[in-house]
Order: sequence, then C-alpha cells, then structure tokens
Amino acid sequence: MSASDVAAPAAAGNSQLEIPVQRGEPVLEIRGLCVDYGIGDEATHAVVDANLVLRRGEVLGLAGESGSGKSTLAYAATRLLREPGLITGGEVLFHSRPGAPSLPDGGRGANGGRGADKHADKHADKHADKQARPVAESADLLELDEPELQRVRWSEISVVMQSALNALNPVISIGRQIEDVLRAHRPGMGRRMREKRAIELLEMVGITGDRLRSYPHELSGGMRQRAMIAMALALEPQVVIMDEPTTALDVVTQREILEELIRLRDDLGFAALFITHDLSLLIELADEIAVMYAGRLVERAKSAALFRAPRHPYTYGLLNSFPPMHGARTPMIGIAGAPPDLRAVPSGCAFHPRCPHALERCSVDVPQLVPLSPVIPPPRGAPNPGHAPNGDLLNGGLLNGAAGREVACWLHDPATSVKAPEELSRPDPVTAAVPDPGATEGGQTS
Amino acid sequence: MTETLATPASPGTDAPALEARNLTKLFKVRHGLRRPGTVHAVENVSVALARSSVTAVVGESGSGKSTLARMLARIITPTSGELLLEGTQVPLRQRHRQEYAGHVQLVLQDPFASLNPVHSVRYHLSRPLKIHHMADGDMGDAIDGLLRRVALDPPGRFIDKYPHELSGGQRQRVAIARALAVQPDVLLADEPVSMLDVSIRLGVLNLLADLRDKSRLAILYVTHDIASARYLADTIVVMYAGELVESAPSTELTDAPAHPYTQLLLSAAPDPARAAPPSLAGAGAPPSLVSPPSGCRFHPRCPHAMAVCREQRPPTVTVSPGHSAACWLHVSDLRPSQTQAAQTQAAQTQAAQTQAAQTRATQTRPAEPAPGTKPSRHAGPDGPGKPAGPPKED
Repeated sequence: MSASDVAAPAAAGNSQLEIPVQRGEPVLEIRGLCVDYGIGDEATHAVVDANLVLRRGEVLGLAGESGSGKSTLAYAATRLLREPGLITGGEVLFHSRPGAPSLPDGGRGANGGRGADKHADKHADKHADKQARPVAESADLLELDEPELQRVRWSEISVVMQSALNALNPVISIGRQIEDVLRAHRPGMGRRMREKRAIELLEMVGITGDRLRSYPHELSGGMRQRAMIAMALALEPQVVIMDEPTTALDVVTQREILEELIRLRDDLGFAALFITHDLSLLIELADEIAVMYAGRLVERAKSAALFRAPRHPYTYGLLNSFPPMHGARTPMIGIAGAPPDLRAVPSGCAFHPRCPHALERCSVDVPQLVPLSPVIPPPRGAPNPGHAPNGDLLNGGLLNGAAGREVACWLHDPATSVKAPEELSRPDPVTAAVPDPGATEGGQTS
Repeated sequence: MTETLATPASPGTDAPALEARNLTKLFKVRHGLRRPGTVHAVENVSVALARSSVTAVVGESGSGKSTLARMLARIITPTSGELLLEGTQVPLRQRHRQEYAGHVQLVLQDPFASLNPVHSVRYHLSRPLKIHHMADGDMGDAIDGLLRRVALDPPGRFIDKYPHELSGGQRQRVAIARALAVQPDVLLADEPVSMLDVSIRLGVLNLLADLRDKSRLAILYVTHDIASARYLADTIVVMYAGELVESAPSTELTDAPAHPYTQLLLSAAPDPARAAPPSLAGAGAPPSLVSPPSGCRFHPRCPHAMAVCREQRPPTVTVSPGHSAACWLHVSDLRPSQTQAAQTQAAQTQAAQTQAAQTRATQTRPAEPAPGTKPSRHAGPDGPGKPAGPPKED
C-alpha cells in the first residue's frame, strides 16, 4: 500500500475503480424511520416516519431545535441508539460504493472473521475486489447483526460527535486513538504503517504530525475537533455523520473547520449528514436541508430554496430568528411560544399552537411530508378553488420547485382553499436546477 | 490608551449609569510543579453604560468578556482600575456589595443553573424584594408586577411553578425578573440567550430592548454572537485576548469594521445572505493569556501586522465620531500623542478601509525606528488549513 493510495484525495483512489462513483448518487436512504423512547402507551415518539436520502459528495443539513429528534434520528440510522431508545419501524438502506468489499454478502455472521481479514487488505486486494464485485450492493442497516454492523461501522459510516473532549479518551494520545481505529478495522496493517497513516490523517485535517503523541487536553478545542474528524475519515468512509461538530467552538475556529470539511468532502467524495440547530450556518454549508420539528421532518429543500423561499411556517419562523448581518435593523419576533415537550405533542400538526396561519384542520390532521405539487397556475383571476395557494405561488410563471422539495403543511395542500401567505409563497430560486433521483447518470464523476 | 470608549449619553443625563475606567484583572495561577503564572484576563478596559442604551461586548471564549461583566457586578474584584456609578466612584473591594447590588444586577447564561430547582418562582422573586426592602405593600402584587414586566402573563400561571416546570425561555425571564426586583439602573446580561432554543432567543432579546426603552435601563449584553449584538445593541465593543480592540455604534461596527480582528470575526460569522464563501484573514486561535504577545495581542494573527505592532501596544484611535479602534493601522502619525487625528471618512467599506489602512501603514513604516526588526509585514503563523494554533494552556 502506498501512501498516496490512502492519503491522497480519494479522487485518485476512486479513479482506480473501473466503475466511477458519481456525485449525487444515493448512498444512505432512510425510509419511514420511527423511533420511540419507552414501550407501549408510555412511549415517547422521538422520530416519526422520517425519510431522508444522503447523496455522495453532498452535505445534507438536518436542522431543528433541541428535542426535535435530530440526533435521535442520526443515532437510530447508524444503530448507535441506546436504551430506552427503540427503533419501531422503517429501513435504512446503505448502498455501498462499487468495489468496496465491506458489505455483508449473504453469509450473515459466518464470514465475519473472513470478511474482516479481507477488509484489512482492502488496498492490497483492490484490483481483485473490483473485478469480483463490479456492482454496488445495498443492505438495510436495521437488519444487520453485530458482526455485520462491525464491518460497516467506521469503515463505511463514521460519526463525529459534538463534544470532542468527551468523545476522545483523555488518557490516550490522539495518535494512539487513531491507530486503534486502524488496528480494529485493518488487522493486516503493520505498526509502522498505522503510525504513518495516523500522521497522514492528522496532516490532512491541518494538524502537524508532531502532535501524534499529544493528549486531548494538550490540544485546543478546534484541534480536538479536527482530530475527531481525522479519526472519522481514517477508513475513508462513504458516509460521515456530524452531530453539532462545531457548536462548542468559537466562530473563527468553526469557520476554519467547516472550510476544511468542505475541502475534504470535495477530495474524498463522502456524503455528510450535518446536524445543527444553527440554520444560518447550514444555509452556507449544506447542499440540501431538512428541517425537523417535534420528531417529524416538516420541510426539505435545496438550501438556497429553503433560505429564499421557505414553505413551512416553522422554517420561516426559524429563519427569522437569526438577525441579519446587513441592512436596516428591524424588529423581529422569532416564533411565539416554546417547542413542545415530546411527551405531550400537540394533536394534528405539532406546530399549530405556535403557527400564525393555523387552519382548523391543522389541529386535527397530521400533515405528511409530500412533494409540493408542480401544477401550472391558471390565469390570474380565473376561478381556482382547488389550487388557490399554488396559483398564488406560481404567479411569476415560476414552478414551485416541486421536484426538489417537500413540505408537511396543510397551507400547501392542493385541497386547501385558503391561500398561503405571501411570505410562504415566494418564487423558488432553484426550480429548474433540481436533479431528480433518476437523472444522476448524467451527473459529474467526483 | 486611556480614552473612554463612551457610549452616546442619552439626553438629560450627564454621567453614564455605570462606567469602568482601565479595569484590569490578573489571576494568579499555579499548576502542580510548574512555575506560578499570571493570567492577564482583562487589561485596561474602559467602557461606559449610558441610561436607555444597550452596550454589547463581543468576543470569543477567553477574551475576558465574562470577567468584565463580573467585575462590573463586583463579583470579581479588579486588580486595578476605577468603577463609577452615576459618576460617583465606588470602592473596588467587596464591602457594601448589597447597596451596589441595588443598582447593578447580573443575569447569568444558564437559567437551568441560576435558579434553585427546589424553590418556586414566588420564592425566587420574593427573596430580593425582602432583602432590599422593595415590597412596601403586598408581596404578591410586587411579584405579579415583576412577572408582567418580563411578559410572563398572567402571573398566576407562573408564580407557583418550579423551574423544571418552565421552558428555558420562561426560566430566563424569571431570572431577569429577579434581577429587576431591586429596580436596578444597570442590568448586566452575560450570554443571556445562548442556552436557549433558537426560536425563542429573539423573545428574550426583545424583552431586553423593551426594558431599555421603557425602564431606561443601561444594559450590558455580553455575547459571542455578533448578529444578535447588531440586532439589540446601540454600541458594540469588541474584546480580544483581554483587551478592548474596537468600539462603535452597532451598525457602523458591522458595516465598516476598523480593526482587523473585528473584520476576521465578521467574516467568520454565519451569514446566509453572503454571496460567496468568505476568506478568513488571520485564522488561528487566540493567544495564551499567561504570556500574551508583546505589543498588539492580535499581531501574530494579523494579516497587516507591522514592526510597531510587535513592540508597542496600539493606542485607541478615533476612526470616526463614536467609533474607535486600538490599532496602529489607524494611526496617521506613529507618535501616540497625535493619534486622535481624524481619519479619512472615505473608507467606509471594509475592503476600502483595509486597503487604506495598508497604504497608510506602508507610508508610515519608514518613520518607525525599529532597529533589528524584520520586514514589517508578515502573515499569521498559520495559513488557512494549518494547525489551529498553540496548544491550550492547562
């Protein structure tokens, strides 16, 4: 294994594969995921029917307030959820990269040891592998048993936790901790090789190699977080889940680390799920954003579309909770009330008690996350009882951005006769440029 | 250096409600067998809080902003400096704190920690009323009045609740109500919204704005969030490594920052409206406060650092009326006695300002007698993407 093999931007690594990996291709699909805390009538529904798709080379932002279930969703999808958390439904499909030898392939558990060995020689066996497995494989992470999970975790899906100080072991040097990852998942790798790789990883995230023997307390908060990122990327995973990775950091450090992440994403082509409560940060960072409220996804859109033309009243309120950095100062109100307790979620749409546009229906029926209907508006002034909100949305001749965005709100239901308010029906800025899932074949190779 | 970074006094008031002059706090530290050291937490900070105004203190963690707030509350005794309440000097020592507390109140960051979980809202609010003899008539009426002032209405719904029964925003409102119980002139709020959910932060900020306007309070708003400071404050002061680096009316500070550190802070702040990704000038981390850099403490990171920056502390220069910055770039003539010279008003945008500053710096460089110094401009030690800075002192 040569150094360039692992350290160099995986653009090089990928190019060695015969089947190119394409940016925008789904790599992790979360379908109908439900998570409860507790059992039976006592259960708190922390995540209800969540559907999300992570795509290669893209950052999916998951925004929400504390207690909205965003971390629970991520932990459930990676099977890291602890008791009393319980996954009650759904599936999490992981589509492995062609040639990656790590997915369990039928002989459940029995070949766990074999597989791990093979895995160890991933790079040595690369050529053999790519001939043996030319197509991508898929597996439902919720169905895997422990040995199988072991092969997917960290190798293919890794996690960066919020508090690096708590996530790192204080009595072991960061170099050792990175080498531990390699030792566990790459048993065939020698000691010198591991050390070399650990130095490469640290340098990749902007820490000099002489820091290898430093202990977590000897590093600044930003450096600790970088070390966490290095560790998460040690095995070149296809998916990286980041749970508030920069929340505890100062803005300058935060910005540096985000720049680093974007660069690494471009180089290595992983898909990232970025969880944060800071929507203003996500808009700059993420390709696509999903907004969560009281355990449900309420809106999903490209970040520019979400920022310029929010469709859900909660998204609009959240956006208006961040004072702008430019322009005249005008009074803002944020959102009235407080986020609900998950033990007593309001009926119907959980947001209705705080919503300024709540309809009668909102307190009764739960709105589902559905694509916005792309209906062409009838001429202005024409009778349009069925499509009133959309008629207004589209009066600039613009589409609703329906292909790329979804919203869970009765205001946008075609059957609702009430017109959506102006601030929730601005023209979508990215209507035309939304790739639909079937069109990725034409996408660029990363 | 000693110039007061004054907030505009409101009409009809001469002295600011609370003024700090050259406050300095040095903490002695000792770590095991290591040599004892001194943490220069706050040095030579002057700030004036006028009635009916909000002054925001912005800075990164470790910049000394909370230490400043605690010194103003007299919880921490300053090493040196003066504290003036309504123009009258108050002793720095801890004595007579109760009387002082009747004028100046502090609200802390975490309402989950600052309220006692075993006591009800009624108890929390009755304590200061009793201790400061504020409730002449009925205690219940006084408490109701306080709850209404912080928009916990109707008071009956909240008065017998315990902290765990309230949301974060409501808890912070109770903490503010408790501070208001003594009818203070000055409210010091140390990161009052950073622990709250995003959607309810504005509610608390608007409450502070309301108290400023209706109760004519002088408010110090300590925060790391420059956008919220811009929203709420009349004046923003920026702290870096224990020193005050810039002070200006809030929109002017964010629209035309004069100090390179303020510029860095603004470029790093999240801003969804930004067209292109920002470029960070001066990446890296704040220095150790045990052995802070000589001269200007920002010079190791500053993209415009000159020889003089490494040797001498920068003077506080008035950039425009009400806007001052502690930076050599704005010194037209390097003799500190003439630093008050008005700067050109032309450079109003950040880019223009930086450019002008560079030009000035280049012109003035030969005048600086700095034998043995290296070329006067150097980049920070860490380019973007390089190590985050020196290891944390522990």
